[in-house]
Amino acid sequence: MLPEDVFEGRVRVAGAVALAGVLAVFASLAYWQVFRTDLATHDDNPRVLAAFSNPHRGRILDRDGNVLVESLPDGTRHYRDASVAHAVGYIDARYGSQGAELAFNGELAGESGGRGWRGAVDAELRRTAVRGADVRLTLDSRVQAAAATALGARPGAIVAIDPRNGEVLAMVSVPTYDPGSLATAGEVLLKDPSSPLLDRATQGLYTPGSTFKTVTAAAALENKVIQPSTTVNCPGEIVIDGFHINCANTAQGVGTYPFSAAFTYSVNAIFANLGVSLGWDRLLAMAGKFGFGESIPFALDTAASIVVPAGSERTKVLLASTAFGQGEILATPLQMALVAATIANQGVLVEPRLGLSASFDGETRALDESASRRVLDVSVAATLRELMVSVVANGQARGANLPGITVGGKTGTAETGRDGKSHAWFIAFAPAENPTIAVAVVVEDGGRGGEVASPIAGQVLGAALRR
Amino acid sequence: MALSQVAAGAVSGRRNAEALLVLLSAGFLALAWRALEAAGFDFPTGSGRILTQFLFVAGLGHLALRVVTPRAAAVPYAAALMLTAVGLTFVTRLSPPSAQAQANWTVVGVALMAGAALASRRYELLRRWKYTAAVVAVLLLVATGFLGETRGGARLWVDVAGQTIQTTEIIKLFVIVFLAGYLADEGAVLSLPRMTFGGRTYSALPYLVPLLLTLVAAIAALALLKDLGTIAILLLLTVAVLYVATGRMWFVAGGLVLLACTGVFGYLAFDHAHTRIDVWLSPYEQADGAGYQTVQSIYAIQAGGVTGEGLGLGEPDVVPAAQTDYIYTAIAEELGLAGAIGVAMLYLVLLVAGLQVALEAPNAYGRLLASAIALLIGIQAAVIIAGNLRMIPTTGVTLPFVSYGGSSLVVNFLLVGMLLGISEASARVRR
Repeated sequence: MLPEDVFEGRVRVAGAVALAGVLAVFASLAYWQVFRTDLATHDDNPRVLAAFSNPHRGRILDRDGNVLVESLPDGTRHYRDASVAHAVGYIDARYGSQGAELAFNGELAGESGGRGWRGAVDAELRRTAVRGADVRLTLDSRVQAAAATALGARPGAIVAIDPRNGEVLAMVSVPTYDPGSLATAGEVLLKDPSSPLLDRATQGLYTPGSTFKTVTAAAALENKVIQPSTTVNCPGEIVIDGFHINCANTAQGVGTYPFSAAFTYSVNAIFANLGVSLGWDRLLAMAGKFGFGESIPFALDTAASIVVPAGSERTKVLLASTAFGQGEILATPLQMALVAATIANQGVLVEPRLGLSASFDGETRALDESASRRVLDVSVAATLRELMVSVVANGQARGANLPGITVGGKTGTAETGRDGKSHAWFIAFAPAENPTIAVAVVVEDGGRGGEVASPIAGQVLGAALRR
Repeated sequence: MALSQVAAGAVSGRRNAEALLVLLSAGFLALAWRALEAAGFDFPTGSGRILTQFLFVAGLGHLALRVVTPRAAAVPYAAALMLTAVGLTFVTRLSPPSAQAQANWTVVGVALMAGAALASRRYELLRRWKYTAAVVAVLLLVATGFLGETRGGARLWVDVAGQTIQTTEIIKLFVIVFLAGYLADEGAVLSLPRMTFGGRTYSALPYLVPLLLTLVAAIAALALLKDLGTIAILLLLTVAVLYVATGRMWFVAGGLVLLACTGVFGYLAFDHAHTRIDVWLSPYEQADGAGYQTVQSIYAIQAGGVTGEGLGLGEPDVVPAAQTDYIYTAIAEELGLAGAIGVAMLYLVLLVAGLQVALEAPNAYGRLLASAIALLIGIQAAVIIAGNLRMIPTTGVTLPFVSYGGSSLVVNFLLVGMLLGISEASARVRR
């Protein structure tokens, strides 16, 4: 009927077919799960969106552990303070990600490092929900609040840096927005002519005005073209290739005086002459050492500050006006804060830093520290500090006077060429003997730097020194 | 009988092996529960009962088998329980409100399995009911056509005393009885190209007629119910059992041709089948419509990677019908390639164990009945897994022991019970 050995042979065939089936399933699983990684990023893959609403995403804290951003149980991000909006950025299914949310996404999402080895083992073997690490920023909420209050509703930006280590203590950009409102108000924010989404601190390009004289002076001192005691003279105006530069832009401009006075009182004509004696190459080289011409390496996207656009003809007239911070030069507030910080830090530029540490379950890991490089000779930096101290000491920036503390600074009133309006600038550091804080303030169409920007900087410096 | 049998059960090495394997499945479910907890899964209230209920019924089922079939093979019950544990885990995770029902159906299934095991110790009695079984199967399908309700494009459910029953699951029992009985009686004839009797040569082909008639009737009825998945499973099962019974590749080829014809006919005649095949070939053309389920299931499988996203940590619930037709996708996502191939290998283990029972059977009927049961479970698992992995069009049949669904779970436990009964009977004959 059905002989045992014959039947056994057929059963073996059936078993072999089944085994082949399992192997085919294995091959198919391997194809989908190992080789088709492209599917993970398809637009209509809901997992792409889910990553944006992970309730276990880490928090963003200030340097003292105060919560700036946290995830609610439903996965939405709760942004507590609109004044840090540009620094912390956002993460949104439709608009993507910006700021610290983007820069430290690996740690926040729990994908990289921050969790420590125990977290990694948990995630891989015990398969607990992947929780992100909390990221601590260098921002100090008190300095940040002081800066936001000081600037108020005026469009502009403030950057405050610890010159010794590059830690950014405050970053303000006005107008600001609520990152949590992006999902509902995203289109309105995008179309708003006042550009609330733009981070003016790192990407706002402004004519730096006289604050750039620090760089011109640095180039001249470094190249020994001039000394603070060198006598300079301006009879009333200086003409360069038919370009008239009035030295009566300040009351003390006309006459014979040492170069230090030209710096203190910010005499444009003297700097125009100085620029011409320096030449493009030496001026550009010094600006380049400060970071002009390239994006500053930073956690957030930064715009490159430009001394002279690549396509512009490098005339003597343009050189003269560039030397006192007009012409076609554009700088970000972050760049000018770095100039002040470098002078404050004995000529060593420490790249700015926003991420302090990532912590997961009590284990804390420091985030990468900043690189640093020497920009100025120690003696040149010391000379520049003295020059900047005399600016404040001689009443050019009354708002920056702090009781019992020596402050160094440089004002800027950058003509914008629009209806006689100017951006009010001030860059500063304190205390001058051993600076622990450097700041750059710009108020769009704010008027005179000494009158408008220096009081703002004074409040930021005061808050930073009290911490 | 009782005392001597209990004594035999207590010393049975096979039952002791089974006990260890049953502990394994209980351990799996407990660990899965812990893992879901760690993942922050929101258990429905009272779901702890599901766990204890499973542990009790697994243990009681094992004790019942010690009494009823002390010498039967160890693996079938253990493998079925392991698959049930996987299924309970994923039904709980994907469709929390259905979890208690699935656990209750497990109780019913295990109880009926013990009953079937007891009854199947005298399985030879079934042999004479082959044509009755065939008629009942077809009648059940016809009745479903008249009384059934339609879900998901197919009309497969009949309301009986407040419970909806999927009749296409039930008929599998009758089909098995028919196929095994028919081929045990006629297989010897069919295995010869022609036979000589009294100096004259006859073709064996006429002996195929009852089989073909039954098949055509069943296919026609199923086609009207639009259950193409079950048609495919029945055809493949028939082909496989025909091969085991006769060893003739000609039947295998013929069966596969018939399957292909059914597929082409279905494609041309039914929108339902048409769509499924189109979606299979190019799901992205209708990614928001008919292809949505397929596209989402592919994403889910991909997300699993080698070790999976972890229980409760994936997003398999975005795939429609994840707890029934696409439960293998959910397993592949959360347990990864490792877990998914593990489940596939459990079916291989169950299939091989069933074939082993067939090999131990002393007569042709026992051999064919056992192999038909083993092959049915294996083929059904293969069809749904291959559908989920886009190796073939999706069919909408259940993954045995794993998918949510009472009819499927109970019928599959009945099949395992029959296997155990056959195994016990063989062991008794050999002694």
